[in-house]
Amino acid sequence: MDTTVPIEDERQAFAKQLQAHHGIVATVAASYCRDPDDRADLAQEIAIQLWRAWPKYDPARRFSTWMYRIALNVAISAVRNAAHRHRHAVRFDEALHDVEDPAPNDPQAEQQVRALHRFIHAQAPLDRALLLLYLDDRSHREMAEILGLSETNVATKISRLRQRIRNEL
Amino acid sequence: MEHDDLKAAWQSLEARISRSDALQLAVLRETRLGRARSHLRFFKLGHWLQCLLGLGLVALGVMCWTRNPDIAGLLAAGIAVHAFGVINIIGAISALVLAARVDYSAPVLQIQRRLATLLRAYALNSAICGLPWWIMWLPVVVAVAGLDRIQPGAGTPSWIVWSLAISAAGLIATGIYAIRHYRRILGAPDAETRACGDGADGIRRSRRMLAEIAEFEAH
Repeated sequence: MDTTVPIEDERQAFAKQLQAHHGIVATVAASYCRDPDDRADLAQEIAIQLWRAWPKYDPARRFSTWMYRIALNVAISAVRNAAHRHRHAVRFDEALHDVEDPAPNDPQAEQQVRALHRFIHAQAPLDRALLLLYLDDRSHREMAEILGLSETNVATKISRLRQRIRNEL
Repeated sequence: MEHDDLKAAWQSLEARISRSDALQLAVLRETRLGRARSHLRFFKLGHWLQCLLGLGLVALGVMCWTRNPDIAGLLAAGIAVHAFGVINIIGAISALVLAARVDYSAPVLQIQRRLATLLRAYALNSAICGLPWWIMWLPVVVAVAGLDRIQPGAGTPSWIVWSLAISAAGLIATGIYAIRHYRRILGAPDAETRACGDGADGIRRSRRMLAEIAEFEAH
């Protein structure tokens, strides 16, 4: 039996979904890796794991929830393995250059972007996952599904996170 | 930063990240997929080979102790090799089963817990099945020798005694080094080094992962 066509169809369907939601991969990778090369590698690794898990994806469930789970699991594991292999020597100021606006119009807004970027990278891997989901306006229910916490627990955590953002930013 | 400022900063940051050329996804590039598959194959192959080694040791051990029930040394060597073979099989199967249970599409905390368990199993498997080879090569050699007819009461050849002494010294030296290394890490000034900074100890790294998960759930 010729299986070439169905595999190609699968690839196209997957590529279409990935393209539609590629922002999730990009933001997760950028939030867990400061070095641009490491970031590109992590984005590729997430894409590979998504493709490997694709045959088991249930279309009845939200694609973004499924994608977030995989992306965050891969990113958290990668950041732990990187810390295990070697300490990254990229300083914050060097790491920030690639998120700078080449022609900033508003210095205060630019300052806020840099402060937020610094705040994201200062979080522990699991807290960073929660912060990303909060910033991406995910519902408490979806956050609970992605992280494996109860909705009540998510609500408590978000409230504490908001407080920390107010205090630290 | 107020809520509206935070959202505006995030949208700006998100837009810049999306524009970044470094994150262009060449999704299904065969070389990357091939590398990912071969990495997994290497992990599986290694553990299946350990299983085969375990089966070989069990077969050798059984043949030795069933053929020499009257010679205490050979009986003991056969039983030791048999037991070590079983331990190798259990270690390899455990690692393979735990690795198969890691499904990245499951909730984050569940998978991070499983990864910590896998890391611990992997570290224990390496220590339990690797370290004893300082000594275990001798019972294996004795067991192989025991497959031939040996006269009961022939006495223990002196090379076995010497080899046993050298191996025991090697095992003790490794143990002393491990204890000193562990003490040095525990005496390190920063918590990260104490927890896993040297990167060599899967047990401590898995403990740290589980502690992080527990802390995240609690606060």
